[in-house]
Amino acid sequence: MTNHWIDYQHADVILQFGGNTAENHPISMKWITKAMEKGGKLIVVDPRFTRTAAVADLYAPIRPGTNIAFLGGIMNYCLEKRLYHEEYVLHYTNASSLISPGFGFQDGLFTGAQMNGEQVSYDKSTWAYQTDADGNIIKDDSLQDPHCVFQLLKKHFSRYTVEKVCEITGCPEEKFLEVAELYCSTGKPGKAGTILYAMGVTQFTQGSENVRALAMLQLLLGNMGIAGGGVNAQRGQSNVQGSTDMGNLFHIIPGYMPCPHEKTHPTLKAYNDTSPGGYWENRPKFMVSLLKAFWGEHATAENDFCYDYLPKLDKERSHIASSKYMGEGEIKGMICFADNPAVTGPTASAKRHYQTKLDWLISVDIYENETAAFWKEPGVNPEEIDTEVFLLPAAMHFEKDGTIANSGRWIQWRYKAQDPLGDSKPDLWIVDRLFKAVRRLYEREGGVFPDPILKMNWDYGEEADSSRVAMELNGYETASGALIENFSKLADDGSTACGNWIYSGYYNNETAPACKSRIKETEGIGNNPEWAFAWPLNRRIIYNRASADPQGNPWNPDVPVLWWDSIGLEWKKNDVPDFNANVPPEETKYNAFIMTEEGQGRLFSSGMAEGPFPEHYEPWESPVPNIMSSVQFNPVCTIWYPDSRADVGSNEFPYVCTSYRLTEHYQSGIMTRNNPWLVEAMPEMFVEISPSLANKIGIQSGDMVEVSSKRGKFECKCAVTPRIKSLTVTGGKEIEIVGFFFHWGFMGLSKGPSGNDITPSIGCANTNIPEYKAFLCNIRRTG
Amino acid sequence: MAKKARLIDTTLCIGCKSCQVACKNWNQLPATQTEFTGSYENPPDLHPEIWSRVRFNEYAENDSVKWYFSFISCMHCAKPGCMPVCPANAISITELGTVRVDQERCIGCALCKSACPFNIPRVGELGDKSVAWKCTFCYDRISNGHITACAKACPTGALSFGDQNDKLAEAEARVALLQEKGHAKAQIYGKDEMGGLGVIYVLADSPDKYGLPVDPQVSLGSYLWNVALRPVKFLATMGITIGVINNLISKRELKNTKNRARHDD
Repeated sequence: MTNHWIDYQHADVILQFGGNTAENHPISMKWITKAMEKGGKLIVVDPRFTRTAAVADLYAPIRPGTNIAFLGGIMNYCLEKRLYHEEYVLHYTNASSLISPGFGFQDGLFTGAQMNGEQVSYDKSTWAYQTDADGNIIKDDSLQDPHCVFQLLKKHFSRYTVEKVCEITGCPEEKFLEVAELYCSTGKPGKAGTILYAMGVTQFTQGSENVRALAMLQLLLGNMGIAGGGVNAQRGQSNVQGSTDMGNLFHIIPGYMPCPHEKTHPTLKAYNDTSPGGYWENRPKFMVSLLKAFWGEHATAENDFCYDYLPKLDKERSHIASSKYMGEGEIKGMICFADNPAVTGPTASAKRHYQTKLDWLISVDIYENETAAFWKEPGVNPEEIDTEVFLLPAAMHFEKDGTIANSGRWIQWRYKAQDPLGDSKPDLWIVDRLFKAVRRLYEREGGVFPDPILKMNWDYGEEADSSRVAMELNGYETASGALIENFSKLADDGSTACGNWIYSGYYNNETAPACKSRIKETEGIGNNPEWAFAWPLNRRIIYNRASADPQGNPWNPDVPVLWWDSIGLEWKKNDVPDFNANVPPEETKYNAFIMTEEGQGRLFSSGMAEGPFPEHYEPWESPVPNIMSSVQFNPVCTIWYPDSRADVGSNEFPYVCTSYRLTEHYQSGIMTRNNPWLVEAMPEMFVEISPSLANKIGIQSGDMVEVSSKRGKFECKCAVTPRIKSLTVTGGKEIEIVGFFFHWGFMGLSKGPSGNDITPSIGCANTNIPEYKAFLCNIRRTG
Repeated sequence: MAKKARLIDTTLCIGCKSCQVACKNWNQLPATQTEFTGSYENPPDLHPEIWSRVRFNEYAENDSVKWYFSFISCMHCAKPGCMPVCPANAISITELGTVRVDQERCIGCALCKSACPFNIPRVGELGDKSVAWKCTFCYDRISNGHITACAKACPTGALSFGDQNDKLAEAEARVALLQEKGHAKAQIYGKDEMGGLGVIYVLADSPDKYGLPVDPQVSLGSYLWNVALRPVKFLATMGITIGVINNLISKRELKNTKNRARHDD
């Protein structure tokens, strides 16, 4: 999140887009309720009427997989009716920047497209600013130049007319217009609109572009950096924020630095040379300090701080890719820490089969989950499986010390409440023992490349102590061992070590580290600066320079984040400034977004794989042709399994399928399907369909059905509900939606089919997050 | 001590069932076997081991959908229909205004259930005898200064607990606000019903849309029992007690038969 949970209370309009707060983040509904008590409005855009929609002011349906069309339509509405925040757009975004005259867009493709069969790779050279002789970006403050970002943006989204958008999304025109009008009312100075999203935005082949479209809309309306605004990802687990912060994704390492690739980053210099501008100019300091944290005294300037020890990507190693390599026999072993891909992975039944190719599998979990028990799934013959499985019982979160980072980036220390049950152990205990055992093996037997292990700086004590891990993450001076204040003290000469630069400052003293602080604010705007620590630098609202106008007056004086005191000549603060607050406001009015090279929010960006502006393509499996262009599907996606795709408008699989969660169950269900009270409250797997589809195929609520896709099938009960409606789309076609819950599997107290057995193994072109949320299926009655 | 009340603002309820699960948790009530029958609502009914639950009321209205969630449990009426009909005088009103069933005295006749206009008490086993079970209003918690388990667990503030007067004032303010926002049918439920309920609802629609009786009354049968037939009450009580004992004996026999059958499998 750019903002945080408590900050919802300041929103005038809350747009719940591709998320379901009431169902999946119920505790935070308190802050939405608070906003609504003050007159705030809640909009829900979702394929079905959710528990959040039940308390919303406005609900609009949407066909799964058409987010960009919907958001593009709102942006067009906003631009056409001039509802954007003009002064904000001019100063804080790159709207006035001129783009290369060679840049263009035609029939679904941006300039630079190089065809490779049906797929495309882009030469991005025209996706660039025009610069003067000194390298400065040329701008047109009148926003009239046809090559300026603003005009290009207007032109691009002018194609997203209300008629087109509603034809694509299936949203009735009057509903769409109500949403556009209400949400764009936050474009006025002093008004705040927040967007809350989750997997209904990200789990698509255009997941990243969907998020980008949200961010662009927020920039146009002046909703970034202000209280009650922002682009707010509601994380599906209490510490999944911490997990990505720590680099638990294939393409990043701690602190959101890119994972080095063997081809493009063969040396530390090559890696550092790819540092972007803006504050990222400091990246070499963060990287060298990370290497010092990893290899301590062995990391020296002479040996590139052991950069060669850092594993490099050889090819894509996403979940989908890794599963494929596992199926092909390339991967021999797998450690699953609190992970249950046998239920949660795309095309899960195939993945369970892939596990048979492993020599060994370690599952660390609080229960024996489906991944660990794949060899005893009903219908599987254990005699035919040679994989050796180790099951390590893990401690629950309240049985161990350490921090979690919530969606609002607040890092909070939690104390152990009770000892772990039986032989179960904290994750740190397990990792520590595992590492030490592996190191002993290398010491005894050598190996191909023992140094990265033998020289690893691993000093967390005889019994690994989580506070010592925290101190390493915070960073210290290598000579004295003294904890550093924050990441502004990091250096690229080896004098500092830091395990994760963005966390720096959260544990900078041993007696009272900020992440252990629990002081509620008595005055302020709900930022509670002394309650835990928010990365970076305890900043609660990112890009907060944009909360005030160019002269430093807050857009909304009722909830000022920061404001310039023109008498005392200083910035007054309700938050840690995200800009240079030692200079007068005029000097930072074009530098409100310090993480970008140009210092401005990007309405045009060359960073995405698909293009500088989001463009609607149909999901990989779609019931209809793309009416925006002749390019049916995201042309830059990697196709992993070409044969497992249903045709466009398939008769065999005529319905759109999507997946979601229930309040009563959690993720793969391991924690909740083993809890009798929760099983009582939601006992079985089921799918949901509309009364019209039920009528068509002769199903009544509670009947057994078979749901199938090109990849598999499952059987479960069916709920017929008016909360799902058919949608009229392109050419008057009626689209029916089948929704399922992905919580079930063959283990636990409540057993049921895994809906992910039928989801496709295709992912976002930028991150490869799987497209769980929109594909084709069939459904028929079985009993 | 002041009479306590539970305020349920259905317009803030998100149907998360935290209250339902917290009730089971605090009272250590074992889970019952349920099945999916087409609605998110589960368990489908109250039960000796289910003292509260959330109803999911789903309506298609023209082009829109309404999904109303309503927490259902003992209403702790000021004039409870169950109390006067109890032949064993097992039901009483406590100093906090909660309606209590004394399981020591209870004979499990289920007259309280039939007299209750909200159909709340359920008869189940306690050791060798049958007794009535229902929400205690967390008497063990509230008599020690805590709020009820359901209120403690509610994430949105839809379900709260406090002095009845305060809660009524809150409800009235809330209804006024809802009406101002355009909810023409917004209303309070529980202020006057049954002499005033210990559970006050803020509703956005008519009570029947939430599964609540529009005009709850003690049934004629209960009235006759309580008032008109008072002279013969003692005799009838004897009759019921004997009936219950007979019933228990036959139930036990049935159980033994079942056990035998299981062993035969």
